[in-house]
Amino acid sequence: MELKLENITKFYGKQCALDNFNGVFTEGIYGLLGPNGAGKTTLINIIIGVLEASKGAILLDGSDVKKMGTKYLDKVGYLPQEPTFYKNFRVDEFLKYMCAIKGIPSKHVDSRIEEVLELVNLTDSYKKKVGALSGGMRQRLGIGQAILNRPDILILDEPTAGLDPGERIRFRNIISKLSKDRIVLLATHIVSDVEYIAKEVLILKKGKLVKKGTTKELERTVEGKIWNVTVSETDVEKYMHKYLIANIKRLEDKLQLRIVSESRPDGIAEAVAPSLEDVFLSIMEQ
Amino acid sequence: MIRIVYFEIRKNYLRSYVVIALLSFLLINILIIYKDYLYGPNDLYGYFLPHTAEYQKWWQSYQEMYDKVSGKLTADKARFVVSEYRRLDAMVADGTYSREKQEGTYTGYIWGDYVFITKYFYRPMKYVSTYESAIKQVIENAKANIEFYSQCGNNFDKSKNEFIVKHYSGRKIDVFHNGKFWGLLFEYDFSDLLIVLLLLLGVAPMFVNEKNTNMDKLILSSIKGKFSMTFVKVFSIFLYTAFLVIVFSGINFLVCKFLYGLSGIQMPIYAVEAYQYTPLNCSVGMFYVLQTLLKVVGLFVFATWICLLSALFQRVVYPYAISTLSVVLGIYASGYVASVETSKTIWALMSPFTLLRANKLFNELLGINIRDTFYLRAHVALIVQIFIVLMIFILIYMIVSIRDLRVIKKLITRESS
Repeated sequence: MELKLENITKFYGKQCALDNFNGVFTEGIYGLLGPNGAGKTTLINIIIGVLEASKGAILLDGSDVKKMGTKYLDKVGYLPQEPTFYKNFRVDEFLKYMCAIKGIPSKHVDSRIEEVLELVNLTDSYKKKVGALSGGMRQRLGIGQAILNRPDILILDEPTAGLDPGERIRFRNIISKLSKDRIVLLATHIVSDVEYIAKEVLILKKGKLVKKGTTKELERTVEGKIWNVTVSETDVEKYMHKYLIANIKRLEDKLQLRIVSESRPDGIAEAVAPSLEDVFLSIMEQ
Repeated sequence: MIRIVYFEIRKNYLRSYVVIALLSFLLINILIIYKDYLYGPNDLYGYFLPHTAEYQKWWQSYQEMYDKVSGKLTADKARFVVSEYRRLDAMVADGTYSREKQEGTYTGYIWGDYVFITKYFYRPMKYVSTYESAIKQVIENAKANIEFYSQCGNNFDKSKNEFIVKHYSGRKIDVFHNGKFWGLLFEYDFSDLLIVLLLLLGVAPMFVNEKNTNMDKLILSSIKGKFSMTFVKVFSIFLYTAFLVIVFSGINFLVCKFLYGLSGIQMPIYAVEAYQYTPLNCSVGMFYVLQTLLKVVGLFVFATWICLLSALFQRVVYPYAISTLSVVLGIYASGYVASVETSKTIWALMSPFTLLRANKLFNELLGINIRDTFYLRAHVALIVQIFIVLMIFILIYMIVSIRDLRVIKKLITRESS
């Protein structure tokens, strides 16, 4: 299976929200990284069919999805940003409703619901009101509804926003499990969400795809530019003005700064292995 | 389709606050009818006396005599009522009758008996028995008018009189029942106000909730999403409106039947004196069904208007406020339903609340001149409202189609700033 995005461009009036986006996706997880306003949501809305691109085409296994109509929608599962769903529905009711609007035949509804509840670990909560679920449980319910139609393409928009670290890890594990036989496109501005699980990371900035590759490939682009410098508390301000600081770690009586810099910073600087966060930061600061 | 409609109903109307409001309003409605029953309905300007202990004897006598003379109109029944009327008329004619309370009377007093027999039996029975000849005279006049207007070249009045000849011929009333009770039921409209409030509660948050829960995009990205966001929503509104109108109309009927009796469901609508010139030839029972159906249409149009407002705005307060204002304007405009001024009539025809006034639309011959032809205002009002509801549906469809774009645009603008 191959999802190909060709020259996807979106204008809102004169404002270009997405500029000539190209990408090819096969089975596996793709991280779509970018700050707010980078064009992630616009791209997602175009892929899920609620927004029409000003230019470009989306091809699924070579077929234009516009010509596929609802057959294409049947292959897509979507989890929107910060969903609250219907608080007065019970979990099973909500999933039944989603089955109805996804056109899943009645005879398959119960088995599908059972299947997804087990997968997202909500079997014990199926009679709970949606309003009574915790943030993490609600996101897992969101994943559940997205895979009810057994989609080939799963789109997740900021799925870990507001989750505690435990839920975030649990969520990542579910996504990893789901990515075996489908395309998972995970849009986020939280780098750690995709750092270890993404097959490829795409970084968007101001509507443009500025970099893409595997985590390793991207990290290589900043190799030799990441430094650890240990400084006293009084010097921190000076370094912050001069360099791009990726992280600050408190040592006993000093502070360790993680600096992104083309040249070796002042003081005792030690070159360290880069992370995806360093890549992201260096791109955003350019 | 049925599943989606069910969930749409579950989502919007089977909410605890809507169900509680519905049950409370049903109770309030019953209490209002009962209050009218106890203290005398306001609508009939004191025609009926209160059902208090003071008038117990009066009502008892009324029921006894009504049981005796109601039903098929016969010469014996007519003779009895006329003889009672003449007897009492003779007693009060010279003003020398006793003013004291007396045994062996219907109401306790001679004058009370005279009023009782005249108002509730003699005059209504006279109306029923003379209706055939009176309407024949109307038809004869209409025939003469047709000839006259043909000569004048006045096509509108000619067609109006042709309508009279066609629809009023052969009318006859051969039963005697108390039409005033039916009139009370037809006039009762407090429940309409309660339905309007329930429509506001159920429909105003419809689209706003989808936006607030971020469900709008999720639904639109599903196979049946657009269908669900437009047709199903509007259809669920129709079901909700029909349910409310039928439940309230049913309750109104049952409570009135229990309290007042409401006999003669098969008698023609023109047997109710206020409807003597109605263009309809159906029974009172059928008229009540027709009135209920017209209310369903009128309130459905209003509910789709609330739905349109809900689709337009992000906050529920706006649909509530604008809908409430629309109710006031709509009811005001519908007051012109019988107006002789064309501009006011047009306002009335545009208002969905006009269809809630079947009692005014049909108790006399109300027509409108369209290209020199006579059309019933009720028919025109119905067609206008069907046209309006179609327009509203198209607008909702358009808003749903472009709304997402607007939402995302807003999001982009916010993020960029």
